[in-house]
Amino acid sequence: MTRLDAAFSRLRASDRKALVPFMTAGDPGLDTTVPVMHALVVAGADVIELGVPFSDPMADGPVIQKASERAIARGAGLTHALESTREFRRHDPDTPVVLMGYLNPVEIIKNIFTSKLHKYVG
Amino acid sequence: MSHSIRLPAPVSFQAIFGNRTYVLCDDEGQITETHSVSAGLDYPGVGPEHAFLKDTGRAEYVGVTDDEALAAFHQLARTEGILAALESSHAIAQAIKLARDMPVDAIVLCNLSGRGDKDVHTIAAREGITL
Repeated sequence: MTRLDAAFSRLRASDRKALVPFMTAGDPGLDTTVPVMHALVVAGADVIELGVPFSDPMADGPVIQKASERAIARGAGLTHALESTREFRRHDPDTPVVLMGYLNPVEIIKNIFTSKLHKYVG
Repeated sequence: MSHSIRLPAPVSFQAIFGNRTYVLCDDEGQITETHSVSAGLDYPGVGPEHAFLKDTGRAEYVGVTDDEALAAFHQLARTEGILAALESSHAIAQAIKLARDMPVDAIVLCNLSGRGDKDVHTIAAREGITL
């Protein structure tokens, strides 16, 4: 069972709705991503939706677009979002984190992974 | 800021404006800012027909710099009295390059895709000429 399944089971058992706040990784700062994630849990978040900054967030409204722009300017991207999640996970083993983003950074990671795989598999 | 040379450059097959095609991007998959002297080529994505022609090997794509395109623009204007669009001037530049290594009686077909009237002010400004 995934953490997400477990969270929804728990909520259903106590007849509660899930609180799923959204935040953009890397905004307002690179060093605030993880503290804010923990703070959201303390404040009652059941699941965290972590936005992955992208250069062209056209499917998002102006608030998230601006957040993405600020995060990009600091160099945040998929790598930062993944590293933040790993760091968050060190002190919070349970709260589900869902990444929200666009196709392009994922494609790149897929390519990097595939090309590195060759090195190990031969 | 990278020059908008796309298909010969390391581009990635991704998405831009909801369209799956080749896109200029950085190591993290962020679409990069571009530059070209011509507005029509100053764009990080590649049109789907060109992406397809590249994939099927029916077309070969090469890069042309701003300076090469401008030189071609001037050469065509002087020798033929034709003002080519800056976008088309890139093709003219390549045609001139290729023609040098071809026999004198060979025929080269070049698509002069647009007029240069629209680019006269851009070129003048770049070359410090007041019109």
